[in-house]
Amino acid sequence: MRLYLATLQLGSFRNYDSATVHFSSGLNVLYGDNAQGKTNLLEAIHYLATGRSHRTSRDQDMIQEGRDELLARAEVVRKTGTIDLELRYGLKTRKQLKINGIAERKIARLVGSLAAVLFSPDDLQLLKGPPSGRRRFLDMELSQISQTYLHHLMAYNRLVAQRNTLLKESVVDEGLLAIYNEQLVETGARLVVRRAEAIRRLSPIAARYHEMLAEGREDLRLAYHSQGVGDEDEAADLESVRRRLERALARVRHEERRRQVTLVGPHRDDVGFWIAGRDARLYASQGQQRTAVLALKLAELDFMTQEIGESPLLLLDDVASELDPHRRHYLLSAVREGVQSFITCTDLEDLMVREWPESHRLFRVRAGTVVLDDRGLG
Amino acid sequence: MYYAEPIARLIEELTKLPGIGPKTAQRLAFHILHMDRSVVEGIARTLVEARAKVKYCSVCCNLTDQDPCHICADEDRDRSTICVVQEPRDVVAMEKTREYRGLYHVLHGALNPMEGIGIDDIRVKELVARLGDGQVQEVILCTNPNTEGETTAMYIARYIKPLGVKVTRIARGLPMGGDLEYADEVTLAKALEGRREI
Repeated sequence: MRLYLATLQLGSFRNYDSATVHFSSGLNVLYGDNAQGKTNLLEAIHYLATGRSHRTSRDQDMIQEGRDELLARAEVVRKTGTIDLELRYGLKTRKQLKINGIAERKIARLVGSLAAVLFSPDDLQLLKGPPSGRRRFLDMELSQISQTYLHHLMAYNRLVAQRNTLLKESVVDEGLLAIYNEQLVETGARLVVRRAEAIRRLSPIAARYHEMLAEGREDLRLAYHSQGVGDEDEAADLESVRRRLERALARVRHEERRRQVTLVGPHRDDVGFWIAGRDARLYASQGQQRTAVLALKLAELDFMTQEIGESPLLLLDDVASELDPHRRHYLLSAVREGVQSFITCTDLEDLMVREWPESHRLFRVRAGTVVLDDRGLG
Repeated sequence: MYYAEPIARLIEELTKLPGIGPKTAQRLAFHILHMDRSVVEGIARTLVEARAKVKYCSVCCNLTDQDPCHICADEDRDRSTICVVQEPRDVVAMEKTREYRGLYHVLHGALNPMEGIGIDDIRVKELVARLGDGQVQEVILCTNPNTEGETTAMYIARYIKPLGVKVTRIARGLPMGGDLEYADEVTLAKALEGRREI
């Protein structure tokens, strides 16, 4: 089973004045010159899947210049039925969400209706970039799988923010701090357990893809590293994680007072990548990073499919320029079956597809317009 | 281009209200200027009167025009139970149930370091003062089910439990009249956590 995006409608979104596109439930290729709006389409899909852009943290950046409100709307087909998602964001209005025409007060309710995995050139920073990127990767994935996870994540972030403010006060209310500690342990432990479990399950899947991509030369292993809790084997059951977090908080008590910031918990955790037994965060070459990230993304797709019972969308932004022919070929063969995918490229030749799958559509993107190209390749 | 001084001042004053920006204030000001004089005088009088007459109840801290308030003064109410809420509007919500016959205590806020609200900024001391005489047997904490409300409930619970009073927290669960399949995952998970034996 797959879920798919049947129709995307945009209004005043980046360089799109207004556009309505009907996609294939299989492969969709968006081609055109640079700066015509290919990535903007993927951004809109990602925005509808997660409630935020992958390129900017400010929603107003996505509003077309000179306009004051953007619209992004999706018709999503799932096994349970069709879902109509509508997001509006205005300079003067807050973000507004409608699901099946009914206004939803919480934007978080959007997440998970349209699940998607995005692979963009920026993801190549995942391995060597700061830990926050790796945490975001895990949080995005788990939030799309579980509203409960997203709820705990938002509550946790709020707790950390409140606790950090308290730690900065000249006289710290000890009673209040004790209560924040208790809640931090309770909510934090849930996040740690869920993330560690996800990594434990992702690791062998990623290893399998990696073996095929690297042609068996090197092996890949992932590990969840938790501040104060230890490694993933120790992060298995909720009760023991709670106890460990509690002890860790007690340990850093004085240092937290001095630095006025929360020092242990899932907001400081990390994911380790090991290639051929070496820490990839430190030692991986460009090529090794690409292979590992690609394996991770494909594993994410499989993991999410297992969890939600339907295959999410696969968004591939400009992979042709980033991957060598072998990896590109491998990626394209992986997306053909049972997954709705979106690929952007400047030249169809770059994809080097010898045989197009039956259910594919080509779209030519030019200056904020998307035109179905029905000359059909193959 | 500029408004006559009284109009400008009216707009200026209206923007002091929450949620009223310059544009809304302008619209309201012109609406007021076109209203019947007697209606405007009525509104003005009501504003001044409400502000002058309404005060905090010396027992439960709810807003009232008589002290103690009509709930605290009501001889028929169960004096062994106090329901602790964040805002006066929460009292109204509870009263609408017509199920609760005890007393209230209004905190006027929740603990929130980011907004500079600490324990001395909400009416917790006043609550503790009500528990000394042994008449109150149960305190029901009905603060909001979010981070701030939860924190406040936990704080108060820890504070007053040593006084030998039973402390309970309002349950979280499914809305009535709805189907289970339409409940959101988070609510459902919380309801499952709070299940009880029948």
